Amino acid sequence: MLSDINCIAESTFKALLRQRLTAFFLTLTAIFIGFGLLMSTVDIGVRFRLFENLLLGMQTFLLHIAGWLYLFEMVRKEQSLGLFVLPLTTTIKRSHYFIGRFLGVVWLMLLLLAFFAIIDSLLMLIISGSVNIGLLQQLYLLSLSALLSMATLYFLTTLVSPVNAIIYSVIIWFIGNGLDELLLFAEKKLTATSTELIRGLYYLWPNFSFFDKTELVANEIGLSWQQIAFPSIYSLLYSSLLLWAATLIYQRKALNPMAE
Amino acid sequence: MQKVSLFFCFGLFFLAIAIIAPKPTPQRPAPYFIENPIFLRMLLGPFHTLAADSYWLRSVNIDPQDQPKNRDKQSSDLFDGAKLIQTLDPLFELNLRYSATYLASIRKDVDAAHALCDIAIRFHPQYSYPYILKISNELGYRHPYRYDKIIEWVKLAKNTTIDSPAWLTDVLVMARNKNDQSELVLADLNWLLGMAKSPQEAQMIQAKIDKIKHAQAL
Repeated sequence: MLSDINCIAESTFKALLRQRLTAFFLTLTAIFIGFGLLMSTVDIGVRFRLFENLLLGMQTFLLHIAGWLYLFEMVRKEQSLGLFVLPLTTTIKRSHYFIGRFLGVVWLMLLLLAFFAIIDSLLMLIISGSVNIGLLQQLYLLSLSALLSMATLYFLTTLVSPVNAIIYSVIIWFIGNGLDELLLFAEKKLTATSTELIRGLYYLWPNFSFFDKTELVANEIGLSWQQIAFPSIYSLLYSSLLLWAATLIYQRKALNPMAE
Repeated sequence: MQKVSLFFCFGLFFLAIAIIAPKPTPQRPAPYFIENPIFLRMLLGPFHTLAADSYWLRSVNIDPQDQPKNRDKQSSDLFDGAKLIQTLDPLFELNLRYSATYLASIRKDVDAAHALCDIAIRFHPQYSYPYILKISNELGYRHPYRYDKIIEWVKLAKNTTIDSPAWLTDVLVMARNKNDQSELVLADLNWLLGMAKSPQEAQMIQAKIDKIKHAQAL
């Protein structure tokens, strides 16, 4: 069973890596890092704060966009080329096929994360002489955020078309990021009933604000192990639950798009 | 031929645009008025510290001598900017210390300075330095000081989990004494004794209790 999934993941990984999207992301990374290096001379009272924030901001953007676009590209190609009938012609189980495809994209994201971590450490060593460990920890948390939003997108692709799914998952990501501020606002300004409703949303909705520790990193306050462990467990559990639900839907789905 | 004419038309179009299009004006309008900066933070997601940096850079444009637009609302460019930056990055200590001290000392607007500290406290209640800034601004720039408030803030600062200094005890005792509540000093000190983090601190507090008891006996 594992070898099935592994095999599909590997082939997906290699196919995605060869796409034009990869060149696009490498170019964007190079442009962003060049911009960051240009701005690294600006001292805003706290040295290297702007540079580190720029690095983090750009890589947040790239990680999420890469996750969404690779997954979208994969599902779209699968549907337009009719690859989705593949599980019918072979002995591979539908669920293994479905999970394997997702894991292929996750591997790609891990590669991207390693690439970013190495580049960041090198740049920080060259420019400031020491590595801010908090930045690497935050980068790890952001990749977990990307994983959760990818799982949301993958779950949505089983229900609606890929284009709609990407729009919905971006909206879900935006709402999920604002939930902590919304709760703070509700506790101060809104009525008790609305506050309870928002509190419910805070715990049920994919909450991306758990992964946002940028203000600690920007002000060079280290993260404690609880601040890393909780988002890790949250992201992994929530994504696997979503993947499980998506697999159940996919197993019963009519694979002929004309039938829908 | 068609390609050449297409390029020619594009060239004409861009030339016309370059002539007609409005130029960017060097003087930007007041950038800082946002009623509820928390909504901006909500939209920005994980990019809020980067936005705080950019606003901090743009704050060079603010004239610190500008007068408050409306005294009741404590609204001025400096206060709006500081509030926005503080909401986007509540732990940006440089902005908090500079703006709060400026507002309290030169503007004589201690309430605005306290409002800035409150933003930091609202997001991260575990740090004691906003309380300490509040206490020093209150002691330094308001006459007469509000001792009740100082007592409240000292107690809150003592409850924080990160870096509450030992001299806060002295501030508490001073505020109680000035407020003619010397009988409450003993209760406060006993409370502090229970919270002491090291034997040295406990010893110091015990010495103070003994001194006050001795004074009462006389």
